Amino acid sequence: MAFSGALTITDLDDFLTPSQACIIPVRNKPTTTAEEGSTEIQIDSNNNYYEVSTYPTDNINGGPGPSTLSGKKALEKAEINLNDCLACSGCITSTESMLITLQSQNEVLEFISSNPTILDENAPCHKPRLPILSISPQTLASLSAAYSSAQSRPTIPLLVLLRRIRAFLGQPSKGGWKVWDTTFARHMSLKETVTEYHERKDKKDKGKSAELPMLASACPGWVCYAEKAQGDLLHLLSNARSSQGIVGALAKDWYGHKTNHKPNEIYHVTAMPCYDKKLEASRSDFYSSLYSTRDVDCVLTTGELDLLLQELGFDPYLPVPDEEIPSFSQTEESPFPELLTHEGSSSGSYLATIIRDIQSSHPNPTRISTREIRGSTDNVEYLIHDLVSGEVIFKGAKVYGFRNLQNLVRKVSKETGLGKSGRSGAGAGKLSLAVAARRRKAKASTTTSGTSTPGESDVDSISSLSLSNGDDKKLDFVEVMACPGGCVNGGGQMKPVAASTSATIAEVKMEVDEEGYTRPLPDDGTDTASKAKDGSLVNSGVEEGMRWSTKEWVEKVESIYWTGLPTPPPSPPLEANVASYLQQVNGDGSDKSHLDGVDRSKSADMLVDQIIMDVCGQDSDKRWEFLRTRFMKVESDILAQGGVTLEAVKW
Amino acid sequence: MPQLQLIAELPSHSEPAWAVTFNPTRSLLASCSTDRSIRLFSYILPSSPSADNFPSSSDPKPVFSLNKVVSTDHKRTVRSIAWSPDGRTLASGSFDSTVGVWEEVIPSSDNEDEDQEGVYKPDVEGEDSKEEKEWECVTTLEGHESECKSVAFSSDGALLASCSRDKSVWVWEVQPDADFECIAVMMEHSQDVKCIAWHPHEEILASASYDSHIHLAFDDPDSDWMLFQKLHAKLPPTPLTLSHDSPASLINALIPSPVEKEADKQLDVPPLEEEETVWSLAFSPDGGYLASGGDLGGIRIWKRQGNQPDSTWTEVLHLAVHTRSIFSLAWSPSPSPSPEPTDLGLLASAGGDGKIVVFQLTSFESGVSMKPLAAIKDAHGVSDVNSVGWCIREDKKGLGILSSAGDDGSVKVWRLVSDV
Repeated sequence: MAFSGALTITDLDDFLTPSQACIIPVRNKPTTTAEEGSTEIQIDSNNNYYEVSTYPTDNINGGPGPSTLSGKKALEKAEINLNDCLACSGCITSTESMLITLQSQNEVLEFISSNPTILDENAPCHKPRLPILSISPQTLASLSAAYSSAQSRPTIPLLVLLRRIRAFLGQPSKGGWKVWDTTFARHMSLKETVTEYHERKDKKDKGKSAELPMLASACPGWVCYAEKAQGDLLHLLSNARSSQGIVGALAKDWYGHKTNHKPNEIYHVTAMPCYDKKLEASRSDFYSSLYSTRDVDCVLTTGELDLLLQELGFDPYLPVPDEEIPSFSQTEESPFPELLTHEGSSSGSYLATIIRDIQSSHPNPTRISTREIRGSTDNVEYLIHDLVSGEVIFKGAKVYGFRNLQNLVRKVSKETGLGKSGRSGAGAGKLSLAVAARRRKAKASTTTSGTSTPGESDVDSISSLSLSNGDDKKLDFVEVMACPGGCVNGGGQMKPVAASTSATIAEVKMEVDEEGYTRPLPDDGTDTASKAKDGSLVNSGVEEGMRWSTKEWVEKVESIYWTGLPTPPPSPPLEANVASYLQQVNGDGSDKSHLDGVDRSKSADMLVDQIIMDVCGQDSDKRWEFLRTRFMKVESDILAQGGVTLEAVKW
Repeated sequence: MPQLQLIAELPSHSEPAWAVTFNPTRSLLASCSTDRSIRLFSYILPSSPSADNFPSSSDPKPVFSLNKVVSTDHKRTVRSIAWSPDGRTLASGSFDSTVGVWEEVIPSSDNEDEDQEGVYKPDVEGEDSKEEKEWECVTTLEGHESECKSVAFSSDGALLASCSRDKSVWVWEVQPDADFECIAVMMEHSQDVKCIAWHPHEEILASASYDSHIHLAFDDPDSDWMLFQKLHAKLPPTPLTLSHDSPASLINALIPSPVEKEADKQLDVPPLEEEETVWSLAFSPDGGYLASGGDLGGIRIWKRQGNQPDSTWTEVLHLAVHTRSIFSLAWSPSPSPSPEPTDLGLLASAGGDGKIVVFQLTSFESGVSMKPLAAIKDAHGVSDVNSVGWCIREDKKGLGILSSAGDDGSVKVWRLVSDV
């Protein structure tokens, strides 16, 4: 009998398990030692590690360096934390407990029980930390949807829900929290995004071509992916901090200073629609080594916040006084205006804000046209046309979901000549000029014939307006989100809850327990069959019933997101309506609620300026650090670098 | 009884060969290897086809010769290759995680092209072009995080699918000008995805995985690409039986000798009871059946229960065939000039036990029967057989010709003959 080749492979590792490959390789500072020789590592009674040369110490250089004193050298401990995580999805699916237990509601509960309060007579002498919880509006919308479905009661407007959570967690027995929302931080983030866009545009106009398209970076899933897989495109990512990044700086730097708290005397928790926000909070830019503290100490997903509130006994339907009256500026409870509305998308409105800014500053009247690529609401192109010249002055896109993101990356690589797809990989250097010429020819022919036959799906039927279809215009800005449907459908959001009576509450809780765990990110499609389902169906041989969609659920969350805000827009502003909305706003001003909205926005603008002045003064470097962040290419391609598994994997 | 006759032993790859596939429109056979090259062999079929189903072993043989060695710039093993239905495009899936797309183009000298920009030239890229063409990588598709294991074009050539050790299955839409757009990323498998196969005339994609499941996906008219069924095998194996009048070659190849049995016993690790990696897939040419091959060496047949795109498939047969993993399955239409309606064609299997086995499949009221027609053991010496591929062309010539690739790097061509 022939020995099968397969038998010769002993250490076959043909599936992904968490391993060293899951973290960024630990780099120790390179040391230059004169003596090369065998050493051994010793551990002393204090658990310190020393490298000990087994050679006699004959001190060649005569230098008094610590390494030569006794041939004993203290070793740095390699520390591995979330910041080293590659978000490779390996551990989300296999050892999710690792990531989840590090930052979870249990940690917050632990904090509440251990943080001394003023009421506590036996408190240890150290100063209690000031607890702050910043809740994202997507989280509020998701909670509202879940509460109303679970209890078959009306949905709770976002402001009301925020006030109720604030009143509840503000009680000293619950920790005495300051409860904020993140919309003011988003307001700052958006302003900074617009500023950055103009900086890039100016640079580009001065001939530096690789500044655009600017790609929104508020989505940590996308950022993770880009840092890991698309290093060449990183400089296109917006450097403006996300709303979580900003609210972190606001809490620790600005509010802390204002209220006489050092950064490490504040315990800052955010509630986010997304697991990857935990990774974002762990980035080194958001860490103060001076105070050994992070801007955000703990990130909870919406599901975890729900568990925390359940644990503490929160009743979402218990009204509190004046819960429906919006505040106009700073209050004791919230140092910022609450729940500012930013029309556009439920994922931060980055694109809409830029479009609005360009429209308002453009000298000629403009018009927006949109085009859904392949009829997908997650992949939409936005053009601003100058109605006088007919030119396309801006081309933007909203691109949500991993699949659309892939095509975006290909498109941007092609447009800019950057990135992996810009070069050709397998045939690098082999692409003949004939192919290139054929492509150019094809391109030339489509531009001449293309104008007469624009895409059929053009919403505004661009050809009838005799406006350019913008095919030859390159992208200027893209709002990128890794989740299909954007942040309302984030991986950390509440999962659909079937309307149920109190009898089935246990079931509902179980679903909540499951939430998030089964969604590796970046994820595509909203129809992931849950693992529990798989398990129970495995034995039935033929598995069905997985066609289970959260589309309706996401729509519900989306609609809650746009209602019950302090100054509700007349309707969720849809795509091309931004212009008309602006006209209304800038119009005769007869609509009081819109005026309020503008007032709130203006007063928020003033507060932003004041805060930046408070924190940074005229120091532009400090301003940069306060409002922006940077992205680093992660050299993680273990396979390509001949890492552990290169030869082990045979098939 | 027919037999498998070796008709060509082609110049070997320097390292294991992983896949062989016949071009559907042209006289080309392609193979790929750990040596990162793609080899193209051309062949000439004998001019007078045999009147019978199978030629006789003394009939003129097709003549194969090495046509081209395309050295890819893939950084690691080229694991899988697939022709587009029009035969003009070749896709290559590599362990470097990328998919290459190859087309034959006229290489131009370095200076000529720029000068002629804008000058109208009639398209001379027809079949009859006298210029020497080169296979070149026109596009590289990236996205997989780790080794790409299999690539396949849909029946109309509009879609290209790939799968990977990263557990995902991707679907790309082929666009003009060697452009591709990703239209689906399915991450439903819990382990390495070994193999993908398209339905022969509908947009149904099957994927097989180390997680012991086969997933069936389609383009939901109301939504995106999504799974409509997860298949998990459960039938116990039916032993392979040979009738007494079977030819000695068949018995010799399929029934282990006492020595082999003993050796096998020594080597055998008891298989995991329930989990069986699914290595290989093949749809029947009529689209009504799906064959799968796994770790335990059995061939399973799944039958489609209806005509809707998402009609369910059920396991109807599990036949013990090989003693080791089945790495490759290939299903050919019947070579008979006027096949019976119940004739489902020929299924070839090959795997880690070094055997190639060809079955005649026939449908009957309550199921399907598999009759072993011919078998070869040690087809590639002591090496695993990694891939088998039938010659299936638009002009229906060449049916019954089978190619195989093995760990020894060699590519062999066989044909079914009526005698030896």
